[in-house]
Amino acid sequence: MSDSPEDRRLRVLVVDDDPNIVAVVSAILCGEGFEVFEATSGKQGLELASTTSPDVVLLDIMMPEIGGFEVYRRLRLDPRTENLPVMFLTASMKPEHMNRSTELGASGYITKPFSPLALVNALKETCRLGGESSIVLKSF
Amino acid sequence: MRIHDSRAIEREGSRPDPPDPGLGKASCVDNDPAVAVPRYYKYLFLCIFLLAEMTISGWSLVYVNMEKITYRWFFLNLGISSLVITAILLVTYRMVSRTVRRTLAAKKALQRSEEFLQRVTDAANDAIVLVGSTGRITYSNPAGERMFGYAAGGLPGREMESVVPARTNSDSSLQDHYARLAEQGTGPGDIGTVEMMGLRRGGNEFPVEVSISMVPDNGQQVTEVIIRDISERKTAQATIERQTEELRNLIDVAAHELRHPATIFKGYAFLLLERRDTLSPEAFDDAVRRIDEAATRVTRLVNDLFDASRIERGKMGIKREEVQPGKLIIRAVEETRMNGCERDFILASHDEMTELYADPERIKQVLWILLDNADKFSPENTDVEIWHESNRAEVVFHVADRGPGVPEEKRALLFDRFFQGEDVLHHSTPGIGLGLHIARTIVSAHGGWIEVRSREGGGSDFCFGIPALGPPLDIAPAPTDPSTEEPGAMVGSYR
Repeated sequence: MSDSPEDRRLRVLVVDDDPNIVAVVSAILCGEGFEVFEATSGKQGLELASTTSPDVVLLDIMMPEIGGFEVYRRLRLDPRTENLPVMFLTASMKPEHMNRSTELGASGYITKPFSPLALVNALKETCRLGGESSIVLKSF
Repeated sequence: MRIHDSRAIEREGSRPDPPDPGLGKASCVDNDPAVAVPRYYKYLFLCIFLLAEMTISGWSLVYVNMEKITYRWFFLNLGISSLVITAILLVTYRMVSRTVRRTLAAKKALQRSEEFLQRVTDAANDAIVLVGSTGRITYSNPAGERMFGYAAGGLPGREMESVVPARTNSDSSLQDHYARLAEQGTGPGDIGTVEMMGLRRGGNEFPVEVSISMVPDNGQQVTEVIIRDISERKTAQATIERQTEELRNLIDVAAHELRHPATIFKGYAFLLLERRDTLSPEAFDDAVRRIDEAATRVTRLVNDLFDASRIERGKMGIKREEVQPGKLIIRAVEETRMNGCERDFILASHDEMTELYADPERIKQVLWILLDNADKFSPENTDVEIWHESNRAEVVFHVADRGPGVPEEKRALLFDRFFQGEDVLHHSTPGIGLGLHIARTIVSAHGGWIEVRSREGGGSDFCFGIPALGPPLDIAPAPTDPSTEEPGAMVGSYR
């Protein structure tokens, strides 16, 4: 019998092609008690999503080869990850990207640079609601 | 005027004759009979005067003989009669001559006005075309004939459709505009200005701005079409739109590029301020190192923008002096390492004696850009080779990596401004596509060239050549030894 989310550390998969971003997000989340899996490409992110069973995915949009929206589409096609909450973490503030995220039903849209505490709270809220959130955090 | 001649011919359904070159010239003063009247008036009035005098004198003589009046009375009578007749004749002469002068002056003014209007239409840069009810051109000024590639007198008689055809204008043809105008009524008016496509005699299409007006003429409506060639304006508009798009793209890319280091700063600032107690010494060092890298990334971005701005304003100066290419390479590699690059660089120059007449700081900047690119795009654990070769004419520098290479179709665009800008939003490799553009500008300012070649065994070979001699030595500044310069200053200029 698997542990409930309340009993174990929340597992977060961070997918970003910039290793520095992955490192800083990982450092912040680890310090807040999350278990973090790191991926620096869309392909690696898809592999880890199906093998590590994270509670939530933090996904960059603009990545080479396989972009964030394509990763999202493939996650939804895979029965193992079809209900996995995904929050986009991106430098893009383009309205079309935000609208696309909403249309796809993502659990959140967070722009870089972000407030670390706001990110932590958003992740906890998303996990608490089981992905039924729709959080938008814009940088200020 | 030629306009009316051509219209008359158009009504007859035939091509107009060439306009009479003598028509409208200021030559009618000598030929017009009306102009000669004043000269003959003088003699006519003199004759009338003499005739009247003779009549009066004769009558007086008869009177003298009949009444036996003294000769004194006769001459008094003769004198009074002469004065009265002369006064009447003078007044009459002045009235007639004034009327004639006014008529002639009005005619001359009209002629001068027509000639002036002719010169105005001849001198106009826009085509002025009159179109008859059948759609045929009845008049064109010289600009119209030049614009559409016809010889003088080549446009009248042709269909307007042949120079501004409907098939090149998807929205509507000139005929449609005429029809709209006709629906508005028969009075003078215009339908404003529309942009259409013109057709030159050779078949080339070009953008035109067409202004159409209806002009009443003896109860008929003549269509006046003024056509302006807007090719240059369109080109300028396209340039402005392209530059605006580039600027918009630059802002997007710069904003995107700045968000990454800002994320690093904000994230690690939170950790160092709020969670410092939980950080291990290694994590603390890692945080500081990554902050430093992010600061370097921001500095590079700002320096690239600054250099690009100086290039745009033509303010990137070149200060040539005699330098040794081998030493430049060594120092460029050393300074690249000083900035944190851990890549293995293989220095493969064998020519130690060649001297180059160039700006050492700028050449090193080119080498930094190429070394930085080679480091960014090369896989880990591969080395970058750098060397130079020289002949009597030029010195060629090479920076060769084992990266993915540059596709043939992208090589021509690689050195364009913001080339990477298309893709920079989709990957995290630092840079906004200005580095190679700056490198090319520096090399060009030296009269050199830069290109990328495929490297045997995989990878790219970025190479650039600089003319060895430069300008004559008698105007060159005194040579300096690059090894005595302060390296920190050069690092600061690019890093």
